[in-house]
Amino acid sequence: MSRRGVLAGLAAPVLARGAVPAAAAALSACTRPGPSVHVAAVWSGQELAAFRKVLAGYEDQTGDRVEVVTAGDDIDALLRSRQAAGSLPDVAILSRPGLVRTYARKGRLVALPEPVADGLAEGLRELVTVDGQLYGVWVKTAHKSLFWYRPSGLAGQSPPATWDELVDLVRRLARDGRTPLAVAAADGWVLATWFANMLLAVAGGAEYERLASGAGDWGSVAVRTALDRLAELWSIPGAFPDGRQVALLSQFEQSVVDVVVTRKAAVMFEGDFVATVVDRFSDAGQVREAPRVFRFPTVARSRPLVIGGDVAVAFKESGLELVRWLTRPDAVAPWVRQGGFLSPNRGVPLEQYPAGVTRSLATELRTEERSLRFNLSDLLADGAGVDGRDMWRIMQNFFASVSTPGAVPGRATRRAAADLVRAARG
Amino acid sequence: MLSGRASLWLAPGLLLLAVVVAWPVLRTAWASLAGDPMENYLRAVQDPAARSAIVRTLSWAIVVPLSVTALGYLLALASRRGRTGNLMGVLFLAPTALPLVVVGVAFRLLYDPVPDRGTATPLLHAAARLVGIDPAGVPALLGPTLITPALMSAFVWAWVGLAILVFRAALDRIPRGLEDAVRSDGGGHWRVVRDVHLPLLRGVAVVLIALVAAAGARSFDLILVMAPGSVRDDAETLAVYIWEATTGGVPGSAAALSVIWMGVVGAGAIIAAGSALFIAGRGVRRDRSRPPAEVPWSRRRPFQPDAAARLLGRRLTGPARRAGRRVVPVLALLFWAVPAVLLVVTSLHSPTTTAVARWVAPLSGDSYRELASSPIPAAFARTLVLAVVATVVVVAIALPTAYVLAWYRPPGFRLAGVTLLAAAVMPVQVLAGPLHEALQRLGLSATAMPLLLVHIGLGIPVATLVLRNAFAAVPADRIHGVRLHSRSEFQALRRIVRTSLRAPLVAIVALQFVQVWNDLVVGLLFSGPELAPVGMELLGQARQFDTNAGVLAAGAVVMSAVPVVIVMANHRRIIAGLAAGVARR
Repeated sequence: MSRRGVLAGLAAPVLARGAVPAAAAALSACTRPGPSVHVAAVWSGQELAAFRKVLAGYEDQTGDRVEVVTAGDDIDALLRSRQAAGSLPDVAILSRPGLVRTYARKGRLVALPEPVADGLAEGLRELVTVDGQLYGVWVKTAHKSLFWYRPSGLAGQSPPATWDELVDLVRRLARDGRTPLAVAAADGWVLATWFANMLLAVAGGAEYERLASGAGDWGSVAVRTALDRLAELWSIPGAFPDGRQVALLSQFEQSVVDVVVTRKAAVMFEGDFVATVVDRFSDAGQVREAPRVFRFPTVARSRPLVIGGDVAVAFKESGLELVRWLTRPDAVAPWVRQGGFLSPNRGVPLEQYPAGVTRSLATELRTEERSLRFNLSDLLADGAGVDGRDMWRIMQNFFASVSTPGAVPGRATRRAAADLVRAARG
Repeated sequence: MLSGRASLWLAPGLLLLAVVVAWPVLRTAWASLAGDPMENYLRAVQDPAARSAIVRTLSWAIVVPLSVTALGYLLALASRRGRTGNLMGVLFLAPTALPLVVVGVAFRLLYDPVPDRGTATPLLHAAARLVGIDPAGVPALLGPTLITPALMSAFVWAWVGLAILVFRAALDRIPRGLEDAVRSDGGGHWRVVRDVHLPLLRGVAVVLIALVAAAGARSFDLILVMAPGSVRDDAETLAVYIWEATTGGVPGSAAALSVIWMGVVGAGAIIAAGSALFIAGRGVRRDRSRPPAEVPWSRRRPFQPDAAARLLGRRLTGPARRAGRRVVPVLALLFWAVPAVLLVVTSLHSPTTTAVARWVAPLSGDSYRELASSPIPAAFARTLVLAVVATVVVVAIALPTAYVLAWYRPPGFRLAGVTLLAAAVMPVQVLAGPLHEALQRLGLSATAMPLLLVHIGLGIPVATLVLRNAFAAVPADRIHGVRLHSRSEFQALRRIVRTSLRAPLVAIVALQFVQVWNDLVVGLLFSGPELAPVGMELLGQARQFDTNAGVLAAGAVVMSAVPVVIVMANHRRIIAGLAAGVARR
């Protein structure tokens, strides 16, 4: 046996492990009834488990088998390497509409042949439409315009309705030494969501969309105003638990813990999925007081609603049936009932949501369907102009400089605006 | 002298090196010339982010090796004597075996900026208060200003054990009488250091500095795990910068920067190795009467008085001085153990309580239970298979290659050492882009083949280098004798290995296995999420670091157990084997 033969022989078991999808397909084709559908999803953990329940319904109804893999952080990398190896899944769940458009333009996706009754807002559908063809369906949405607070932490105040009230509240609590605000500045995406909300409120939907599509002017007055308004809050001395240095190193879940577990802060900002983190700590008996939510407050008479979401796309004809099935209101019913899930579909009866926060958020998404916008950093295209990562980085630098004691007001804003303009030029 | 069959033995190694190292290097060089070459190179060094990455990489390559060498030398002196010294040497060796991912987890826990949860931060704040400074003004250990020193300290922590062992072995080889002669001449400790240690340890120190500089300049895993997202830019070295710049293809300016980096790393390693051989050559000639270390260092009982401890306890007398001599190394060891102990203690609390407290909390097995239900156990199995296969293949290829290189001296064999050395220090981030192109064309992208291939390709240079030197150290008449009595070349090789090459072979097997097991960067660059090895899974768990500390610590403890056991159980043979492989004229 030649040495290369030995090498090939030794490598074979590992190679076979590598070819799991292909091997699994072959295996299931000969041992199980019905064809098998492969899905790559951005979800993992609890979300993936809930999605499996949804897919079980599809399996029962069609007799097909569905295999799901979680793609982890970078589904784009997974799909690119699968593309090269010729083993693309039938269906993928993506969290960035920008990616859907990129794939569609490259001709990798199968368009949905006829209009689907997805019960969606027109704006959402447009995000995944290229040249008049619909390339994906929305499966899940996230409400990203929420503040979570501990009622006892507000010192008797009611939750603020306007930005000025919020700034006032934080300033007053900070003066009393209460470090009211937990900001997860180590996670760039959290700061980017703050900015998206503020920008939408200040600039309005039309300019927000222009900026998101790369056609807007990052040097505009609205962009600078949005940064200035954020600076009003972030520059308040004593606002953050353990100081600004710790805020800069705190991650998203840490900011939840600061409010509900260690009770160092009273208020934190992020989407409806904060509830999953709270649940984890309540199950361990570490939450004494359930947090409540208030909407991102009104800025200059407009109240923003920013959402995130996940889209199902088909890479092959064989995946179309599943994609279409996911638009049916009853398909996602198990996940809706379980909680921690907001459907973009108007056909899902509101009574199906667990009573309380989830149902009221689902209602908001429906009543404000016209004014809501998709999260800015997920819309920005990769590589060209300002992309999601540029946005994270610029916002982190902005936070670091405005929160510095004695920072000159306006200077950080000018610098961040200049950074955005420079990133837009590439 | 080279028979046809013998040259066939070289083929697999050459082929792999050509695919995994040579081609990507050439491809990158070519890409750097695309379009306007001048502009590529100018743009590469004009980007401010690239420039600060270059400065940071250089500071890694200077500060870290010097600290490791100095600390290693002092601790080697302090631990030179007796049983406790031997035990210490072994204990200091343990961090050397740890994956850098794990070191990153341990030090991010240690330097936690939240004062009521952290370890170093409250101490620092207390010290600040003591001297009347407001703790709020003290920069955070993981913050933008201190992140690079914090990362470097973690790296030094992990590498000092190696330096101690190397210096102890070298000190043991110093003829006994030399130090005594200086002393009886009325010389103090500094004269012993200046007249005996400095000239005799220079060769060892140069090799060590080169080795640590090459590793430090490529530091990557640590930065990924330890630097929070908001300070990643402040910690970025060339390895991270190039990785980020080349994720979507290799633009001309990134290629140009890669070429500069490869050139500097390669040239640095070759110059360092050359000067080390030169110095070592002189040292060996002076010391020719002594056989190379056949008695393992740890079984020796040298009589030299303990210079470092004496330096430290100079003013003490009698029993106090002796106690001081004992206490210094033990204190150092205790200090050194803190990050590892913190890691183990954290893993013994439940994941949700570790979000609040690290040292003091009710004991719980929840973190390990949660670990068991995560994707990590499956990754352990995958990584084990990967490491075993890669090790077997590397040895199977490197052994005959080394034999032919050392014995037949094929054309160009003199260049082999330099080439292998350069290949061994090539940063994998640079190789990744072109390799991906090649693998995609071969349709191997979504399989485990790239991962395996790259591990093998990166393992071969060092393995071949060490084994070649070990073969060359075997007396020629012994090889002649064996060959005369063997029916085939293969049988001769087997006999030579069995009789004279045990230790180097064990060393290579252990190191290769540990390297694959501990890997993060190759996994990150070459495996999809479905095939992620354990290092990558651990990095995935670190996405929300502070609220997942328990599970992370548990994973880190389990991941570390394997390499620590392997290295501790074989440390004598590893050191002896590497010494035999490195000590060559």
